[in-house]
Amino acid sequence: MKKHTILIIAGIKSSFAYRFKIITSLFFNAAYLFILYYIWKGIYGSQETVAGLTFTQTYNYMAVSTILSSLFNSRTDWRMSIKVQTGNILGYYMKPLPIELQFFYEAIGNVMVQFFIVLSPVILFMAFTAGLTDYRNVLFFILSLPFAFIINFCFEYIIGTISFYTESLWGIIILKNAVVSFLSGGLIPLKFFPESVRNVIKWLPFRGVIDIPLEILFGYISNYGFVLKNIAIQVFWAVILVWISRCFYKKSEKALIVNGG
Amino acid sequence: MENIIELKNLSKDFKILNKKSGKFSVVKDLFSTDYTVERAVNQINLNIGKGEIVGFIGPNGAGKSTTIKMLTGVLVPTEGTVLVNGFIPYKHRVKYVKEIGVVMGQRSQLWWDLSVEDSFKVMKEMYELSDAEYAENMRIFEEELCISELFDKSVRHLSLGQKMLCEIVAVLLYNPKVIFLDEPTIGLDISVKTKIRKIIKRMNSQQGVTVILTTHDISDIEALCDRVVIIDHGTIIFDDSMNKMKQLVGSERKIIEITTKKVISDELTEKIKGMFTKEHLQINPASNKRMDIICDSGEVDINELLLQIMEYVGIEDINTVGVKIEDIVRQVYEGNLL
Repeated sequence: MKKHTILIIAGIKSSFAYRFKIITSLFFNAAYLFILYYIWKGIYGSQETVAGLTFTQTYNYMAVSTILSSLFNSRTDWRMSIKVQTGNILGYYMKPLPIELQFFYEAIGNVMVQFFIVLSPVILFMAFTAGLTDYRNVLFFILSLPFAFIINFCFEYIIGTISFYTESLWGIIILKNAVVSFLSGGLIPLKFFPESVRNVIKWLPFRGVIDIPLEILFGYISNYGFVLKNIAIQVFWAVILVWISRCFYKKSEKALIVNGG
Repeated sequence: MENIIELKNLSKDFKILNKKSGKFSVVKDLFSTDYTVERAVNQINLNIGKGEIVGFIGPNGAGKSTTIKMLTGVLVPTEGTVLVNGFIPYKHRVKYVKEIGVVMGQRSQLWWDLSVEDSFKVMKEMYELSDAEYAENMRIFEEELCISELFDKSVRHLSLGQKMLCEIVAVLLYNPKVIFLDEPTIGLDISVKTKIRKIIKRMNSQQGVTVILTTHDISDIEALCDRVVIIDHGTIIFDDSMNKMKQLVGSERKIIEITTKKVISDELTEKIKGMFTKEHLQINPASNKRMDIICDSGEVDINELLLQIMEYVGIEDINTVGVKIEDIVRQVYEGNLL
């Protein structure tokens, strides 16, 4: 068995240890979606469309975006920070695999279970109710997910390496979560931003996490050019961010003073 | 015997921020570039041969852990060179760590949320052990420790003793050439300690594993180590066999432990001290009815000594022991011997 496989399996098994947490987060998400419905209903009021989107379009977008956000959240930044504080990060240094890969495969394992339990029924639901009639939407959507995951993982990893310097990441993580959810489409659809702001956000990596997969899912699929262009953007950012993560890691490695004698 | 570990002029400096005081000191610290350089390890030279079991001891803050971290590739030396089994630890970490095993008494390398068996399986795959190698090692550990009893338990739920056994098994599983044990028996009961010592001895004698043991538990050192290296303030102050260490205080040294009938007065203590030259006699009043007299036999008139004590306070019980390593080490740490 390959190293990555066993670590992914380890990640999956780890997540089972927190069965209770998965179930409660399911309920939490369901409740959140419920509330979300009424918030957006309120925003729409009696208008047919806002920023060019109907209520159904917006709600569908927000529902899947909420689920994606919680799915991608492997909390790698927290895990790294805690390991540094306890000194258990040393264990990662003692294993014959680059540290970023160890965290990466574990992260995949951690989110995999939730992924299948939560996302699949939602997609099926969408397919029947939201008029997702073209299976190609779902196919390309699924294709875009690994890259979205990688981009999000890089954000978490970069923040995690900062813990080698500062030891307490609480504030930084909250800030990062806010920034990412705001600029990725996790909070409101990016179409709602004014044109000038959207033009800036277009060039940032954040939309690769939520907005691009959703554009693909709900987009006009016959336009292959559109789809491939978006996935290419994701790949581009994924590559750049992996490179940046490595740089951050190399720098922080030097600053690492493992806690305890 | 060829050397498996070579340290040459090894040094490590740390930059310590000079924390400011007064108003807004926290903010000032954030942007400060006022550092002092602290030399934690200073020009260490050390060669360790294959198959040795070396005790690496020193007072808290001596630089032991820093040296071990450089040996395991976690820290990069400021000066000097580190070579372990032909590798420069920090340079080729991923390849290098396959050759070594590290067990740290206060930290865990196992997967917290997995069962013990699952943790071992992850180790098997990460270190690319064949099914046969894994099964064979497991068989031996099963014989020695009945390790399978712990297989289903979650690592989180293990007692400290069980956890340390699992950490050691996990590390010995892939047959490393050198193992670094950092306080492996801290907080453990004597039964578990004995098991651990047995395993280490076995790996050393059967597989030729080189062992570097860092500990404050002197009985570990006595049970396992042929050679002791003492480090203090970042330098090596002693590097020799256990026997040589005993000779630091003279091999004729003994300790006479006397329990008296009455409370020992200062007067008696002074009298006894005055009876002998200070270098040959040391008194440790361990409690007000207990006196430990450390002296060289042959240089003390035991008859006279005991007569005095009997006259003043009477003797309840008396016991003599040979030199205690613990005392030697304490004296070294306190700067009395070297």
